[in-house]
Amino acid sequence: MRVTNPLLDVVEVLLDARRGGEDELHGWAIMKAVKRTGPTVYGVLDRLENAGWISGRWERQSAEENRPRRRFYRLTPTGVTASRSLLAQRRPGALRRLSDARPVAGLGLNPPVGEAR
Amino acid sequence: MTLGEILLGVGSGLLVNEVCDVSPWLARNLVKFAARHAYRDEALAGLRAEEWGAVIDARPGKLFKLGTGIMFMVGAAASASHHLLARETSHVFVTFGDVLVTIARSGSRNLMVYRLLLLAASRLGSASARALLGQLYEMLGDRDSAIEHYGVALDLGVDEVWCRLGGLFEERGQIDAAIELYYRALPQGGCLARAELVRLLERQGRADEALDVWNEWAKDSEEGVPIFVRRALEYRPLMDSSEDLTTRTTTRGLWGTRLWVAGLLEIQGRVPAAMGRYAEDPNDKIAMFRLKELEDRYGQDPEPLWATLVDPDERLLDELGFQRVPV
Repeated sequence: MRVTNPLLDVVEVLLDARRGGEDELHGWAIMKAVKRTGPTVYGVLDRLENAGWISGRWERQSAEENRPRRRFYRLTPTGVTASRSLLAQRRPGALRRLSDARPVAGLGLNPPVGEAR
Repeated sequence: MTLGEILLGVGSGLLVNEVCDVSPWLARNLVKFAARHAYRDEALAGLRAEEWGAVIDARPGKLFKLGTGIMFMVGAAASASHHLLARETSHVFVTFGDVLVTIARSGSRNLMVYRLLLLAASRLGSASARALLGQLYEMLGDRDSAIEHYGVALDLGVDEVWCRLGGLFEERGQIDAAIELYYRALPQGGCLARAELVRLLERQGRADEALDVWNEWAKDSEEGVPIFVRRALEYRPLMDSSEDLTTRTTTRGLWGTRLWVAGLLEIQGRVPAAMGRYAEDPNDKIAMFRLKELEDRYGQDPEPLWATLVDPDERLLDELGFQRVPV
């Protein structure tokens, strides 16, 4: 899998979210966190999903909610290991920060419990 | 203030208001359209269409929603053009490989134009353009750029570049990586990767592994055509230029100059001469393997071997630029 800066950004954000206990982020939250455009972020999500590094699930909505469903992404166990390894090679500073610092707040909303894909 | 200016002001305000109200609706439809064109898989396109609709919904600001929708459209257009150009067969790379040599010989200006055209095509997603760019940079001696472009070409499905990558990594002294790349090149067929792989394995002292590669190749050979002869046949186009041959044997040390010469001797029907070449180094397992095959077929001494060393026809091989292997 080709490693690019956007991919590293997304992986870093997903790892950070795990530390914060949020574990999952939806697409818009990832876009906001990495400050990249939709096509760039979703291109990365496509590659990560194809590689088995992330898994996605639709949120469960109540009947009253009249808005499109969001899709949440989380790192798989394989993805966690691979992401740490990748950041250790390419962004050791970021990995150290993730290990040492408090998690960044406000990355995304706590997802309601939803069905797996 | 004139009546016209008042009307213009009011009209502009109404127009902006309408645009703002319409923008979210327009953005939602743009992303549905974009998803259909960004993904060839219908199920995935449907999934992304809904998901991007949620992104639009979450995005604050009506005009910002429209901007996001437009960005997804731009991304889809780029993706669609990539799909269109990636459909071209990677054989284009192989077919047009020789074009580079012709262009290079025609002057530096033509080479620059060729490079710019390839850059433009590669930006649009052309797999072959990427591979040809790699070839261009390889020819110019810029190994790092060549490796970068070959890497992208591989991602786009041009498997023919595995072998070229092997050569570049070998030139950088990364022999283990080169061996791995040549192994990956084997499924593409052709003898070059096999020959290079065997040579490198021998050089690394992995002679048994080299012999395994040879034996696998031998299984694929046409019945009745010795594998070494077939190899020499595949290299025949190179024989048009003795300069090319000399360059290949000196810079790459193309494996087994002895074995290559022996193979050519076989193709010429000069079996005793070929056997003499194979017999020169008893430690050469490949040569011994082939020598045994010929002995089994023709007997151990079909002619006095010393005749092979003074055979006048071997001057032809010298004219073709082969280096003599020290006896």
